[in-house]
Amino acid sequence: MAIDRRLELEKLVRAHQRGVWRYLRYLGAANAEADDLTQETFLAVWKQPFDDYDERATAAYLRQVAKNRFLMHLRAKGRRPEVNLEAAEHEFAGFARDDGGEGHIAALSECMQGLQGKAKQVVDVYYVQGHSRAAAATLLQMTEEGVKTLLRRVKDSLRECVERKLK
Amino acid sequence: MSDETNNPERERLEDLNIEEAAGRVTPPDLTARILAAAQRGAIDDAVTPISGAHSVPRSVRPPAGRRMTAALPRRNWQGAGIVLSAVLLFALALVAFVVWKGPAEKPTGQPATAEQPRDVQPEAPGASPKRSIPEEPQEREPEKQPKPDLEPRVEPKPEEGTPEPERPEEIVEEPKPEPEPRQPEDVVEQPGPESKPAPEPEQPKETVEQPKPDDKSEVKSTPAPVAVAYVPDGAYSRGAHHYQFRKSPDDEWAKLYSQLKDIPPSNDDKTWLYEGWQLRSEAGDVYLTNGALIQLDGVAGFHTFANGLRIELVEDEMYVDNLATTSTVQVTQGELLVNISDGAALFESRSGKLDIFCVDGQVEVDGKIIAAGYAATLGKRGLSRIREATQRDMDHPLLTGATPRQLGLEEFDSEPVGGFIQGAIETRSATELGTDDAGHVAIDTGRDAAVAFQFDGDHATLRGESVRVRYRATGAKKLILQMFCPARNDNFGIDLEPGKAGEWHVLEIKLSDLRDRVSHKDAPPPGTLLSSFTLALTGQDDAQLEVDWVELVREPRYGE
Repeated sequence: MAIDRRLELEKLVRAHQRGVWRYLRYLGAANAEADDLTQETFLAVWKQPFDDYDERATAAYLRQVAKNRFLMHLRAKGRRPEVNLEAAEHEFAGFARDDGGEGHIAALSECMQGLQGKAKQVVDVYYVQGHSRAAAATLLQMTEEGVKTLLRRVKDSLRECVERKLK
Repeated sequence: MSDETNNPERERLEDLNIEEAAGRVTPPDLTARILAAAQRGAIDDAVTPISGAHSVPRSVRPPAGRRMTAALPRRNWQGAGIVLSAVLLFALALVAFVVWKGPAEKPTGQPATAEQPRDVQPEAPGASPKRSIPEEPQEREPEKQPKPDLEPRVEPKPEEGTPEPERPEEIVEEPKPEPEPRQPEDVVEQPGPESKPAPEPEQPKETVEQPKPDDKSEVKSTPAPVAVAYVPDGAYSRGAHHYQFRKSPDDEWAKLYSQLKDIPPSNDDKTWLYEGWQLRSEAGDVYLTNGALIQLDGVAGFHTFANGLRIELVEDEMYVDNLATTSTVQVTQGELLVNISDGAALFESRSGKLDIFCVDGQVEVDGKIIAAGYAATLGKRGLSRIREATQRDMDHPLLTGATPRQLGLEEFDSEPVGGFIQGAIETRSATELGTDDAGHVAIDTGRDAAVAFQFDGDHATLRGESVRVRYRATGAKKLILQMFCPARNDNFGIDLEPGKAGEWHVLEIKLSDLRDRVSHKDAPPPGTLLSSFTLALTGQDDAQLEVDWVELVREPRYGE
């Protein structure tokens, strides 16, 4: 591989791999699948050079390739997408902007550091430890409905916080 | 706010983002891996399978669309490797055959000369064992084909070929040579191992076997103790039910109130019961963590299983309402087991047997269903005949005298999860509220004052369900309570007298008393999805409406 081609690919990968990986996970790929499909996506794009208008357009193009690869993968496995693909692309484009979602995640991390008390506990039990809502209810000594309500409130407050930070 | 919650794609994205921001899952750095794969791809592309001589940097080659020869896919390389190995092996076998057979026809053939010195040495009497060990692998190959033909020919000229001196020995050991006829198959198989080292086939394995940060199960930890149920605020303090608990069947009974000090701090007023504990009560309410209600008149133990919660009825009787919850409740007594996925039933322990009366929904025993309005007895021999419930069953004190199951409660301590449609929150002192503690109310003013809010997702109504509201109104001529049904795009409601102005009142309206606001005929049948609650007044310009709380409850009666 020529050095300039290698650098070109490396630059593309470094700029967009996290966004592509996140997108694949969002569409329903498991972590390992997202790893493999991200690789396939970049190799496919690299073999068929494209016009690089700007970061956002490139990211959208990569997502399109990634989505096609993922659909082929699902077909081979006899699975179906877990999300409405059109709506998912719309949501993800809003989230990813031109940095693959890096800014959003950073803002969200900051907002989450401000959580306290039960809100912090429910995030820890449900999102970090990965317990189900029912299990979280028993661990937090709440009802399942209570956990659902608390999670909804936490997400609402985080959403507002992130929107403020990204303005 | 509500449209945020009705967008599953956004919900999913938010969940993933929180997981990532919390550090549970992070995108890996795949740069090195992708570059390595690209490097391999570049080599694949650069070497044509025909000559292998066109190793040219891809950058100076024509664009992909204009290439005249496409690079072979990796699978073809693998195939090529196998074919190549087979050809090599065949050639090797052929050479060996020639070497071996050659001397028989050409006593001093040139091809043999190069190898003969080595082969000849072992012919010496004492050397043969040493020789045969290292050379066995090579000698087996030529043996296969020649053997049948060569046996007679080998005998006359033992000295000339390498294998020849050994052949006679092997021929003598005829029983062993039997595997030899199969060796031709081995010859075919042998290229297998040689084809493995082909460079490309291994690469996909590398990509698949990459270490991956995975799944929820790896990170899970289960702190003890596991709470299974709770006694709701005020149930024991009313003093009517005399709750007692023990942490194991061997412990002494203790008043439940006293165990409050033992449990981890909780910011609610529930008294929690943990896995393995037993509770004794006199018709007291207990809620399971999945929202199911138990009314226990006797002794029960609390447990979990893979798909839900298990209640061991140790003594006497209990009523279990597990309608419209998210998990199964099992009721057991010794080895007897009843599953309640979506139902409500009364259980009575009677000398090793369990009387079951299904009050609503259905329960399942050994694959048999007991539907609402039917009863049966479960014993060690199985389930008895399922019979229609009698009036005596329906008049059981646990059904007629029990407190309703709470399905939902909005106390306005903060904005409702689904959001306000109308109204706002204000703080009130204990005196203003007419209660022991200060709190919050939802309030609105004006001639059309209303407190209205969206539920946290649509609420599916249940049989026997009521809505209860604590409110205070001034300047009101009429009150309207209504709940919106999205399927009909209309409200079910009821007109009410406002009661004495400026005083707190508690309304309790059965949902079966609500009517479609257009025809004023239809009540919402069980299972109707309702999305919001409204209490509104019509009155003076300075009218005011305050709502302390709104509660949805269900009466445990059959046939409502």
